[in-house]
Amino acid sequence: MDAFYASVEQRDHPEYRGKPVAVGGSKIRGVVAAASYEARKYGIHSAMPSRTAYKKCPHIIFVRPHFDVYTEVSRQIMKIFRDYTDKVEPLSLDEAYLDVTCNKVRFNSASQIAKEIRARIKAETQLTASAGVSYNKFLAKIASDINKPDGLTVIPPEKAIDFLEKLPIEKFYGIGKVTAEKMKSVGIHNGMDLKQWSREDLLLKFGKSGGYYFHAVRGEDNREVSSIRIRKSLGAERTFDTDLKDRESMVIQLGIICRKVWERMEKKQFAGRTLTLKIKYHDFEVNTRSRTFGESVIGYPELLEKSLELLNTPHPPKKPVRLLGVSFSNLEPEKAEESVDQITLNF
Amino acid sequence: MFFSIDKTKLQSSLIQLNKVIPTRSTLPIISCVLFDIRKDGIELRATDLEITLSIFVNSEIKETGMIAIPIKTLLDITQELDEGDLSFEITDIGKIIINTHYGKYTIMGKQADEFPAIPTIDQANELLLKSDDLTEMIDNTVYAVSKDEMKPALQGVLLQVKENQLITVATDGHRLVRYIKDQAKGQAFEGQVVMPSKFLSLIRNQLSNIKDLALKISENHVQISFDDTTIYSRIIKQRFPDYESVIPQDNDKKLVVNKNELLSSVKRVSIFSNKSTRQISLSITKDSLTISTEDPENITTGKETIACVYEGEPLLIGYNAQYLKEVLAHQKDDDINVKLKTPVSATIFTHKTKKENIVTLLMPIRIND
Repeated sequence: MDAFYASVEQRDHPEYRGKPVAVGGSKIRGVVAAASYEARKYGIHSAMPSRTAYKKCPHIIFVRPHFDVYTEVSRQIMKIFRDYTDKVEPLSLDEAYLDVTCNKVRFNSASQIAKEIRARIKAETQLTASAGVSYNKFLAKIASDINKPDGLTVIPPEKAIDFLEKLPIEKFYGIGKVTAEKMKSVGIHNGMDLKQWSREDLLLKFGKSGGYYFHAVRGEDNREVSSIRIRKSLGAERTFDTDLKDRESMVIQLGIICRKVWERMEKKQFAGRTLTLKIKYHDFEVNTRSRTFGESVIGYPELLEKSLELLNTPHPPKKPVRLLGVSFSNLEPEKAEESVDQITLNF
Repeated sequence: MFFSIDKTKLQSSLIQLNKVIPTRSTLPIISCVLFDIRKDGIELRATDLEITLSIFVNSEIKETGMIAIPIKTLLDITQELDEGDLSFEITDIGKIIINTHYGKYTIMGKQADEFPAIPTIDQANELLLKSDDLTEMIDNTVYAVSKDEMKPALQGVLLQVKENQLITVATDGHRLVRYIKDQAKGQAFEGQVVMPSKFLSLIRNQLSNIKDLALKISENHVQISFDDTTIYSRIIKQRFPDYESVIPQDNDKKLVVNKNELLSSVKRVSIFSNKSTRQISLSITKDSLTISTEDPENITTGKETIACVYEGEPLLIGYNAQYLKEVLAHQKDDDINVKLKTPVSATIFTHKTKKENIVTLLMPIRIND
């Protein structure tokens, strides 16, 4: 979906249409969760501190997120996808991979299906979506980002290699800003440059991801579209309106966050053994502290106690704190999240 | 205060009482058993605040009184002692001294007045039940109850009493069992009540040598009594879902298959299924049923084919093997009757005799192939 949260807000509030809108945050605090295309013209993007966004565009409209509405729209589009194939792998609320090799509508052409799905999304949700069609997940993902918004890009097999060779390195899915800079510093500016590197050299220079880059630039990606996703971590975090300066207020906030995390864990029947505390200071420096326990944490009081231990070891934060987060990972196998595909009785 | 009690009687009572006590409790007093020492014997009581179990043990009493004793220690020591009487001495500050011919042990008890009171059951209606009927009602439904604490209504079994029918229903949202038992005569109680599955399991433990029973139902509690044992439970007040509306009437594909053959096949094949999704699929044709599974994560597969009789378009349908096994294990016929419609709608298992009618619904897992 194009600028998903922002588009939903513009759909539901005609007065926002055509204007720069940021979902989440406020003039002074928080982070932009999504920016409308009008806002993006000012260089505003998601995950940007709202204050920066406000500086770049003082007439930006900050909107409170309505997650219930986004979830509902998400359900609508996932349902549309399932009319075409059961092999749907959601990446987020508004994005999914679809394997249409075998499909329910007996179309031979994947682009035809993409066209129809986009038309249906528009008709049923009044929102626009972009689609990418190709022969693997990596290429489909890149393709979907090319003609945004409201675009459809097809990369047929015979054009894939040529396409990838010309593709600027920062457009590769999985290559972020930092890696892109690193690549440019060693003379890799596009796919062609990347292709000159051997697998071993890439592994040496970029670590484990090197292997992925090697195959990606050759258009090789054999990952299946998997409709079963197992949750690997769970957590909650909060950005505060005013920085926390004393230990007492940190303890209070940590209590609220732990309560939230515990509620989610109970809801998802999730048991984790590795607890991570994230601290972001007023100067945006981030510090994470984590510990793995022999047994999973069994209750809210224990969770809070362990989180407080992390807050105090090696020492309590010495700078004002802007954000605190608590998360769990290292899940116990028998408590893996139930398959999203288990159908429920419709009471 | 002194009293003595037969070790074997105490031990078997403690084992029962221990089933009520939560493993992890927020309230220390409920990890204790209450000893209410009366003239004619001792009432032992345990509670998890929802359910209370009380067992009366005849005993020779010299002095009456009350004390709460931590069950874990007491149960552990009774298991290590020989048969015979155990004598207890309780001091004014609540120290409990147990004397045996091996030696002497002491633990600290808790004040009896901290212990939660027995719920008062007034203006109760009585529901008369045959022990066999109650056994069937419990055995056929409790397995399908939800373990999800976020859905309190589904953690119980619904009991509906109509003129000549007793209906019990349990569901966890993925499967549902409706058990109907015909009864000859009407009851003083008509209406419905949702009871915690733990309460029913406790009743089930008591049912072996008993004929007729009376279940007392009041506004907020239910109570049932056996010889020396009484169980109380809070009634679940959350709304039980409208189960009738989800039982499909138009499942037109009919499958008949041998229960044990299918169950043992599913047991073997599911060993190779993915450990978290437990997904297996059934491919059903006119005369054969293929059970298969595939776990790409661990590169395991399993496949078996058995005979069946099937009327309808060939069908490929996925299930959580764990759910399917439990449903199959609870079917009563050798050849089970199954009605299906699509790979994404409820599968129905039916069993019908003159006196009982069981409908079991199982929701499938969406499959990829």
